[in-house]
Order: sequence, then structure tokens, then C-alpha cells
Amino acid sequence: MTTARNLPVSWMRNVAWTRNLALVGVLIVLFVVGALIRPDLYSDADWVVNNTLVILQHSAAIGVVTVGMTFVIIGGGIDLSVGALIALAGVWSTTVATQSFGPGGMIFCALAVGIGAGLVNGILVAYGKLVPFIATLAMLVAARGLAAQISGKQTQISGDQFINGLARTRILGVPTLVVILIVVAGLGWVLLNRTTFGRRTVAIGGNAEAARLAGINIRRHTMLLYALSGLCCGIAAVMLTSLATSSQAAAAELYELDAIAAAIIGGTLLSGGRGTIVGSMIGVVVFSTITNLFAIANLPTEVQNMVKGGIIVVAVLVQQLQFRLKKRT
Amino acid sequence: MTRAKEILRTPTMVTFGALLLIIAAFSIMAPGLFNTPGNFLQLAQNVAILTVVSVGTTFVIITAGVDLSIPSGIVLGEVFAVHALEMVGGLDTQPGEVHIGYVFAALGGAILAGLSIGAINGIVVAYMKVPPLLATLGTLGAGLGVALILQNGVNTSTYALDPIGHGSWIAGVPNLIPIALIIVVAGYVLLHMAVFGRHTFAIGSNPEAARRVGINVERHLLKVYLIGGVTAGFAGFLSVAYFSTTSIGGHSTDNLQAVTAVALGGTSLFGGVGSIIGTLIGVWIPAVLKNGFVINGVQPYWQDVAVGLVLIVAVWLDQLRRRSRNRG
Repeated sequence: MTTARNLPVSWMRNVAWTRNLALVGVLIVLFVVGALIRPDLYSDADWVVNNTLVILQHSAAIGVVTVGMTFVIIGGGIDLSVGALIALAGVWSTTVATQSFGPGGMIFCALAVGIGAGLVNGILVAYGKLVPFIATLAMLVAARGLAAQISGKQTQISGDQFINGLARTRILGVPTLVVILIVVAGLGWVLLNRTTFGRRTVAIGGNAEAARLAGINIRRHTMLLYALSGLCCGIAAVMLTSLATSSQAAAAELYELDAIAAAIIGGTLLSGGRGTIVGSMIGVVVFSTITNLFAIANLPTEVQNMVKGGIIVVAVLVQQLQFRLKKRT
Repeated sequence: MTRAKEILRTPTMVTFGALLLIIAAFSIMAPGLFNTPGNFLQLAQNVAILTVVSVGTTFVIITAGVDLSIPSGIVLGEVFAVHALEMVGGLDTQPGEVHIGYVFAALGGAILAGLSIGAINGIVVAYMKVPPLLATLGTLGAGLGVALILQNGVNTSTYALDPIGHGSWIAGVPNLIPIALIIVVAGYVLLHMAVFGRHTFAIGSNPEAARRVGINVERHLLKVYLIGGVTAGFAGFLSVAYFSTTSIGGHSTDNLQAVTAVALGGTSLFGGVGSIIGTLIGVWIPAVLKNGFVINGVQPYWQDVAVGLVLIVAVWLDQLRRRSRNRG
């Protein structure tokens, strides 16, 4: 992995592009497979467009979480608490008291809870010097417990028309949730590729000591990365509330694993220092497409777990092979 | 510095002290309810299955690895156990009937399931060099998928394993307790008194150094993941015995619970440091908190918050101690 850092930047860009192209290739293959299974559906252009929107709508919440996760992983950390934070933010923002403040209050509450919990993660990791795995694992356990405590393990119905409408309206023919995902991913891309914040994230993940010697305040930056991930969880919480018109403490279970998997498939290095938002987003869409394909083919949804597991392992194997080949030359 | 003081400073003793404090506090708050032998037996029975998997996880984490695939190991263990029972025709055993043959058939199935998933984990991690977090994340999804397909998404119930799950060989002590104890003792011997354990610690603290002194690191890692798999499969067997049914959806957070227990017990996630006794204590802390909260009428959900806090404090203290030791 050290070799990657010493290689010229142009090569790294190349790898990212090859990988993204390969992922797009996977998407095309999945599309062809779908067309072979159900030619009757896929011959209908309207249906195909609609189905694509359905896939994207399914990707929306997990996609937003994956943007935050990508930042955290590039920065050399990991955030296991995202699923629990979504549940906590969702439950907190749909209590009767919060709902009385209207949609603005609910969204503010979800975002504030997400950022707050993310900050706690960040402080524990950056200033408490706890291993990210442990700090966020503890947050996972605690946040789920707190969510259960707040909701009394009851499903909380959201009566807010604006929030519920997000999942049912379209902007220029595109579902609103997808628009939100595109905006978040776009902002994430700019933040990672066009700002000092992004440069610093890559620098810290690549070599924390070198970054520190170069004058970067590693602690503060690491803290902010986890807060960013928390913010993404808050946004995703609003989206999930809107989709289900309710929230519950068990929502978004195992989202952390899906988000990590999508980021890794998309070429983010688990050890930090490398990754792209575009790759992560394609990774999310690949997973949603698989889920969609299984539904269309009337296959037991269980099989998709196997396929997903297989894809993760294959993707990492390819990543390792690339490194080994590059090392040799 | 006397030896007694040094022992008091070990991470295991700190966590043990915390556990004693928690028990003492609950005993004062709910005398006659919390601190009864019956309650402690119930607690021991409740944590037995988690204890078994946590022993395996301790080995894996000491090698600086992690095993997220525990839920699929347990569920596959359950599923293979009931399928083995079906093959030998023991699925419809009535409550009260005892057929040792059926029990061994189910045990064989569960162990086979554990060995398979452990072997895949081990090969992918040790020989293909995939980071353990990802390799076991993959087998987590894949294993659960296989289990659901084999079961068609439906749970199977059976009473054939009642003698294990509900019997009592020692008067008044449910069988799960001695079984878990045997696993703990076996794990202790293997980790702390055998060459196997020495090699495990060596690989965890410095794989390159371990290689140079002649340890076959890859093969040893494979064995460690096999242990992780087998303990998960065996836990699946115990789970079927205790609940008289498979529970496909009932183990999804067992991996995090096991990692929490192991970390609470002072095992370092960076590898090279850890102990079975610590893990045993780590399993008990969340269980005691939950039990004590329920008895004292505190909303049980607070226990998760408390477990999170205890985990942070335990690991933080451990890191503080290590840092000061490195300085001194």
C-alpha cells in the first residue's frame, strides 16, 4: 500500500477511472441480465426509466450515508455507528414534541442529533485517542439504546406532510430523494476534490505523521470527519422517515456494513488515503440494482446476500491483485 | 513495586473490579432479588451461548483480526444441525425422548457448518491477504444467504436437543453452564498454556517477526479462523438446543456483542494482547447491567447506553495505561 503513495498522481487517477468504468460495466451486465430474465418488462422503455428511478430512490438514503463514510474511511478511520445514528436522529425528530415545531424543526433536530453524535465519535477518536472501531461500536450500541429509550420501542408515525412528501414528489421528473442524493454527492465531490478540507483528508489518511508535520491540525480535522458522517446520517434519517412515514429504533439496521461495502467496492482503500465519491456512488447503485434485479426475477431476496458477499470479496481481491501487479513493475 | 500491586493494575483486574462494583451496587439496590443464586444461574445460562462465541473471537482479535461473520456461523450451525437431524430422522423427536445419536448428528452438522465458514474466512484472510474486516463481512452476508435458502426463510423447531438445552447433569445447574465452562477452560488452556497460544500472540504483535522465527503464519491464521468458525457453529448447536428452534433472524448483532465483550475484557484490537478470563468478564458486564436494570425497574434500553459508556471507559483506561507504560 505504501507504493501507491509514491506513484505519480496521474496513475492513481487512471486506476480510479478504470475501476469506475469496470463498475459501470458491472451495471451494464446487470441490466443485460435483467433484460434476459424479463424481456417483457425491459422492452417497455417507460418501465425501464421508471425502474431506474426506483433503483435510484432505493439508493438515496444509503448513498448519502456512504458519502460521509467515504470521507471517514479516506481519513483513515471507520464509522460503525451510522445505522444507529440514523435510527436515533429519526426517532428524535419524530417525537410528538419535535413534530409540533413543523418540518423545519424536525429537519433541524435530525441534523443536529446527527452532527452532535458524530462530534462525540470524533472527540472520542481524535482527542480520546480511542480506536475508531471501538469508539463507533460503543456509539452504535449506545445510540440504538437511546433510540429505543426515546421511542419506547414504538413505531413513531410522522404526520408531517412536507417530510412525508419528499419521498412522493418529483422535481423535473426526478424523485426528490434522488435530487437530495445528487446534491449531497455533488457537494461531497467538491469538498473532497476542490477544497483544502478534501486535500487534508487524503493527506491524513495517507500518512498521518507527515500530515501533522506539514502543519495540519489532525485532531480537529479527524473530529470534523466524524461530524460530517453524523450530518449525513441526519440527512438520511429524514429521508428514511419520509419513505416510511414513520421512524423506529430498529431502522437502518446494518446500514454501516452496506455503506462500508459500497465505499470499498467503489475503490476506497480501507486503510485510508485513497477513494472517490463517484466510485462510492456507483458502488451504492450496483448494490441497489442487485436488490432490484432479485425482486424483478422473483428470486428469494435471501440469495442477494450471497451475491453481495461474493462481490465484496471479489472486489477486494481485484484491488489486491492490482497492487501486487503494480509492485512488480 | 510488589507483585500484588502489579496484578491489581492488569486490565483484567480493572474490569473484574468494575464487574464486582456493578454487582455490589445492584445487590444493595435490590437486596433479595438481584443477589440470589437463582438469578445468577439464570444470568449464567443467558450468557452461555455468547460466552462460547466470544472465546473464539478472542483468538481472532488477538491476531489483530476480526470476525464479523459470527452471526452467519451461528445461524448456519443451527441450520446444518436441524438438517442433520432431518437426515437421521430425528426432527420429530417428542419432548422427553432422549436419543444420543440424534444429538451427535446435530452436533456434527453444526461443527461442519462452523468449519466451512471458518475455512473460507481463514483462506481468504491468510492466503489471499484480504483484510479480515472485509473478508468476514463478505462471509457474513453470504453465510446468512445460504442459511435462508436452505431454510426457505422459515425456522424449524425440534425437541431432539432438549437433553442438552434443558437438562441438568449437575443438580440445579442448567447444562449450558458447564458446557460454556468447558469451552472457556479449553480456550484458556489453548491460549495461555499451549504453544498454539504463544504463536497466536506472536502473530498478533508482529507477524513479520513471527514468520522469521519460523512460525507458519498463514497456516496458523487459518487455524485461528477455524476456531472462530467452530465456536460459532457450536454456539448455533447450543442455540437450537436452548430455544428448541432455529433463529435465522435472531443473531444479527452477535458479532458486535462478541467484539464488545472481548474489547471490554482488555483484548487489544491491534492484536498481541488479550486473555480468555478478561473475555469472560466482558461477557458478564453487559448481561449483569441489563439484568440489574430490569430488576430495579429501570427502562431496559438504558443498558445499551450504559454498555457503550463502559466500553469506552474500559478501552480508554487500557490505552492510558499502555501509553504510560511505553513512556516509563
